[in-house]
Amino acid sequence: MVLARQAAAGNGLATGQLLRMLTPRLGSIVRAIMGASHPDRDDALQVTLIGFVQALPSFRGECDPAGYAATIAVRTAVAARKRARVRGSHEETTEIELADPASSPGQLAEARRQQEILRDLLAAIPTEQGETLAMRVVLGWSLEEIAAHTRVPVNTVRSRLRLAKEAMRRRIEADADLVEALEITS
Amino acid sequence: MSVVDLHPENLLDREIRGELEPAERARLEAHLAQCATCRFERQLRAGFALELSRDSVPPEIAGLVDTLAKRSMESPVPVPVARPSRTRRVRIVLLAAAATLTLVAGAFASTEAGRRAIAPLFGRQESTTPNGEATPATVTAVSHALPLTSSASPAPAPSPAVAESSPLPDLPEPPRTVPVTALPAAPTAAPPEGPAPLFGAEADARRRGDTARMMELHAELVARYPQSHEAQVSRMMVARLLLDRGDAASALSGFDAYLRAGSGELREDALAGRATALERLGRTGEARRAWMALLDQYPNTAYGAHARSRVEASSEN
Repeated sequence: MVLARQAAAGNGLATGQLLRMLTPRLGSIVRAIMGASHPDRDDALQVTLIGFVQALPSFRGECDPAGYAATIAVRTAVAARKRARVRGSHEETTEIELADPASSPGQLAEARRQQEILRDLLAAIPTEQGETLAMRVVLGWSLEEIAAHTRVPVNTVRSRLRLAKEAMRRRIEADADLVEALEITS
Repeated sequence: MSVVDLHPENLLDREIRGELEPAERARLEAHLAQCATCRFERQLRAGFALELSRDSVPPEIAGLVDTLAKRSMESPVPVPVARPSRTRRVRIVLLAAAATLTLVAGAFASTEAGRRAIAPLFGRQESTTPNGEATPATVTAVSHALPLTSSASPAPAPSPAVAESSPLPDLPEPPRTVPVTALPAAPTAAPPEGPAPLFGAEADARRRGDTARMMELHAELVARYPQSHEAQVSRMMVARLLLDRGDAASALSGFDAYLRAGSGELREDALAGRATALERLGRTGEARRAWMALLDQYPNTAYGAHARSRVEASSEN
């Protein structure tokens, strides 16, 4: 927080330290929402960093700078994913990524497929719902945390999330493999 | 609205925090038994929590942030980071400007003199008028990236379009697009020199899927600037690509080259990549030693479980 205040006041050393501190986390968030192989991933992270640095002068220390930066990252990544969806330009590529050593290839493939289903959903539903769902599922935020970071009432968050989950339910039901993977019992 | 539609988000949160009472757990389990959506959410949240625990900085961004941070500590004079392509250069220069000019922001940057001073720093002299005033194009481009207001000035209000679509009315709007058309023409300079432009071009080639060009640029980068940070990151990028494509022998050479250079924040990944490459080459004993070296140097490595299982498996053979 002190670092963010110093950066907001124009301290270059603090700005550098803050960027170094936050960029790995922001990189993870952008990657999680866009997918590791998305061609616009690096660009979205750059835009996130630009947005964050732009916003620094108005930072008054009233919120957690990491949460603030994460909110920008979510919004940027969801928007980028939406743009790519409109262009129809996203193609899976062979990303240079070492396999997660903790999972079997089958588990890993299913987890990636499910994450990709979520990413498609984030881009398909209305922006506010997509951002709310991403904050909930990807960042793991509670409804109260989402409300605080997005400056809307908790009931609005609840409503957006309910609509997003309704879309999610329809998506699940349309995918027999996913239904099986989730072992739906009723 | 059915019971299934009333998703118990608070119980899912409490479960993650380990705070569920027995009665709450029973309620949650009863709901999950009926609600595929919440099961999906729970599964996804666990997966993303794991993914987010592994911080990710694409190599070129890591280099960029490092460079920006270093320069912001060393000097208040912003220097362009890379010029691989016009669009990319625009983004990188904007970011460089945004970060480094925070140093000299405030009163200086809020003045017209400040704006005039910015353009030459980026080699944009050609976009100023003969008397030194910045053209509208320059001001538009730079002011897009820079907080040219002093810290006492109010933050710019989001545009109506943004406010309508945004749930963050009080937050400054992150730029969603870079106004390329508003930027000055690219300078007709000699071919770019230095490791950063080469590295940027290499990354562009990788994104285009132009592997041949990527390898060409990689070879040039490591030959001309073998000690640079960019060459180090490039070695790792290429080695991982080769491993992914099944060329374990070349990948191994790449990982070895990275490790020989003796520096770099990707050393842990390089050790894991080296061990994997050795395994794929059937050099079991060396692979075992490589996994042990990784565990020795990084006891808490994210590859720990896998490394230990490989060591154990090779001991049994």
